[in-house]
Amino acid sequence: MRRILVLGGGTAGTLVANLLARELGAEIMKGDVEITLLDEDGNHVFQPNLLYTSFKGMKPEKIVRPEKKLLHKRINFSIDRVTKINFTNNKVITESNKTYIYDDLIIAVGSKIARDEILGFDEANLDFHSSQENALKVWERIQEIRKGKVVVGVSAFPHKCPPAPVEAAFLLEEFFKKRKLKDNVEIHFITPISRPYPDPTISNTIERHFKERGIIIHPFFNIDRVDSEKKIIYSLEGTDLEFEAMFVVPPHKAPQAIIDSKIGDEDGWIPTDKYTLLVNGQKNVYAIGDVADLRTSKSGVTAHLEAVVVARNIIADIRQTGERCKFTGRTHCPMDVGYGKALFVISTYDKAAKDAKPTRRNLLMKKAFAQMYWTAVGGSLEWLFDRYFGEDARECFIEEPI
Amino acid sequence: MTEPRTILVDCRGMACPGPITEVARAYRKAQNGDILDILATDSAFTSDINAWVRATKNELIGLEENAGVIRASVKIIAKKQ
Repeated sequence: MRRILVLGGGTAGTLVANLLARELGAEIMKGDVEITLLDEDGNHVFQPNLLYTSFKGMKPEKIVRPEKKLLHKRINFSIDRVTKINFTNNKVITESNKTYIYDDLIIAVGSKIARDEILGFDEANLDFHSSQENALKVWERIQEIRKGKVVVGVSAFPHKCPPAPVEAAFLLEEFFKKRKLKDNVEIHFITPISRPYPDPTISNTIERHFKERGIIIHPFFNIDRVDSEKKIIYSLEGTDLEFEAMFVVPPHKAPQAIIDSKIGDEDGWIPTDKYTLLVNGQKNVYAIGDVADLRTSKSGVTAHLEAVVVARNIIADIRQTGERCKFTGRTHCPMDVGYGKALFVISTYDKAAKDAKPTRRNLLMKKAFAQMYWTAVGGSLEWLFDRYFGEDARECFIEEPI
Repeated sequence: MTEPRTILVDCRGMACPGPITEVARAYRKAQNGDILDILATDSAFTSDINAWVRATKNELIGLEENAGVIRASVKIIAKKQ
């Protein structure tokens, strides 16, 4: 019996488990393979749409489904928080004190908001990025704003969904303009680095659009502390920024179980081979999605493409086909720039993003991907994604026997 | 107030914006008088660290490239304590 244990029921965990369960039906029926998925709360949120709850008023219940309903029936599913992972003994321990022994472990536990990292941040900031409840609070708050400075941006890297802070700025500008409040409300974008987006080419495009739309950029702005009563953000660089409302993406770190298990770096990101997605030094443990320390975006599409690589490699190993797949680092991040247009940030480890023009077609594609999500995460649309991404998403080859 | 320290920030192998965000992370923990000794291999780092030093008004006391590794030494002098 080969025991495959998946930790986390987000995009990466759900898809990898479903792909394995769909493909390994015969082995599971014979009792040769067993797939178990553990998730901490049993709810699956389509996180990209948190942005639309926050800034367009999308109903939060539309973006969440029970994890169990998304999983193939051949998968054993439990709602149980992981507390400890032990690579030496191939063991995972959970909050309910259960021990799971694995032959293959796939860690897909995502990232968490590090609320206490910056003094005063959580009291002052409304976070559109982490839950439906918070996103709804943002939507309610922006209805009340009539004047003053609204601050959006990034508090620290890395964070999930790289385009989200920029999208927040664009959608807020559209929101206030449509309500004829643009003359009274200023939008300020803060970032710890020299430009609004990590990729320089995409950043140039954003800067151009920010300028046209009056969004003010504060580069090299690292938040030191926030005074929620005086409504001032103090930066490490010595510049202060007053605000009426603050919707900044908070610092992220890996879930506590990863930090407690001492398998990640200082913030818990797990050192991972960027091609095989195997955890460094391990032969049967993979890290995919936000929790891996990969130099690619922490986003749903990237998590999806990583899940496919891991599923194919495990299936090939079980069936001894000799196939090996390598992840290319492919990103495909849609960026809504408001007024019905979007652009896509497309890159790999070896290819930087190209300049992209916002178009209506791109926004339609973003919406189409969102519509397909609940089906896609079940694993039945891989034929379509294979056509769309082609070899840009992974390199697969047959390993020559030694 | 503790004694000034030299803080190694090893960003070799990191792509942009990795190195400059690691510098910002180290800066959060540093005090005036400390030296950040930064190693990076990303070619954009040279312009990033120059811009960062200008923006933060700290002092770039060394910048050299050897065998593809950029080494920058920054003395922290402008941090609000």
